[in-house]
Amino acid sequence: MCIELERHGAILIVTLHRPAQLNAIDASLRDALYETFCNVRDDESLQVVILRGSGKGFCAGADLTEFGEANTVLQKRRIRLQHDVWEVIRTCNKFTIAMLHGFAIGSGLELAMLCDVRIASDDAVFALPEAAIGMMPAAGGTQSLPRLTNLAHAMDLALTGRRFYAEQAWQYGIVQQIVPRDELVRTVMQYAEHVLTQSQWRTLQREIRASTD
Amino acid sequence: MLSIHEQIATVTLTATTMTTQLAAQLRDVAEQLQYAEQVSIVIIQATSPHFLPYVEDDGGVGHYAFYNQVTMMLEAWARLPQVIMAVIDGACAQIGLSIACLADLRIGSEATTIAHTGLALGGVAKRFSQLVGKGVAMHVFVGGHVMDAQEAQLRGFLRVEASPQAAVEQLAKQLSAQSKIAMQYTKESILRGSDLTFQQALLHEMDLYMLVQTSHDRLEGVEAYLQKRAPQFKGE
Repeated sequence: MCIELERHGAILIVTLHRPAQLNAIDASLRDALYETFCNVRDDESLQVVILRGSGKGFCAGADLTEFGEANTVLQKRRIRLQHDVWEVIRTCNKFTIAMLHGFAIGSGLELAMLCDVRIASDDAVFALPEAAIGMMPAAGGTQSLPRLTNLAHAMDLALTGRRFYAEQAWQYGIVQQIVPRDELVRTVMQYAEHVLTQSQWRTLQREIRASTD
Repeated sequence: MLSIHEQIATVTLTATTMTTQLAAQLRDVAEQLQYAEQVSIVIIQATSPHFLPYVEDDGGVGHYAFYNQVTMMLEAWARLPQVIMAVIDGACAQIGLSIACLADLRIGSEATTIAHTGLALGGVAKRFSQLVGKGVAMHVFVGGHVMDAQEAQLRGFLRVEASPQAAVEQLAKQLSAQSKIAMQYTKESILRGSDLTFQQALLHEMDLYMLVQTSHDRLEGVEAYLQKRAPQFKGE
């Protein structure tokens, strides 16, 4: 299974599980994410979803080894419109937390930016290197990035593709908290439990999301 | 004023004062660049340390012509699809700030200052606000705050370098090795998306991405990555 699920009461931990591929997103992982978040959306007993990666990092981006095997552009567009995984995650009716360690590159970073908050370990590394391989960020990255930080940082990061690190990501407003690697899981779980104590979190989430819409 | 070397166009300003004539020249340059298919990077720089902080507009009979020419020039620069880099090594204000805000990347030195003094044309207040945030924009445009280089760097508005000229040349060379199409579509998606709702912007991003998927550059980029070699992009 390319996704592992672990439930703690009203908290669900969704783990991207392709560690040998640094959790690179291929069609199977994309479809599993879509299915998972559709189920999450309809599960009223859940309130918080934590998204993390297994192994050395969060997610190294799209799995380029499967490019060329897929459908035509017209078919891809239709599939995307019918099963838009990024939109299902962005509009998820639970509070979403990205737990980031190691690499969060390309669509890995984009995936994290669709969550409500991002908590990173001090070894996290980020980049949007798509232009260097003839592509562009297309998992919402060109829209979530300027809305999380500002247009100036977004242009710089998306056009140059330069790597940046946890401390910079915090300065830019992309990451909300940085902790040592061995404290990451405990910190994120405490954060999730704190959210559960906020009786108005749904209203606040809706208002804050709408403010950048 | 304009020189083109391979994929990099360089526009050099020799004056510190914006005049009707200079605005017309800059508009012509932008219209030439609009159709310069080989150009992927545009550098705008000044021979003076200052970046057009003065204007020649006395509010007299030439006022309308000046205003019109400057506005049309800024519109032409805003339409450029290429990545625009501005070298700002001193005071940047007035129309200089309008042009700086149309650049995608700004490189300067410790001597750089950013201020709003007088004219605000070409939607500069809106663009500056999108670039650095509403509060900072209010502080600069209404409160009269002069932003120094360190603050400008903190806000993402400026990259501070010991030698801005050398840094911009190096960055331009590095970016010109990337896919021109990918950079232009990324720029378009970010800029146009900032005026749309999130959902509309995501659909726009998706459509641009699908167009990129049909390009030779995308094929070459992925093949080169898998073959562990440097890509040879054609901008097609």
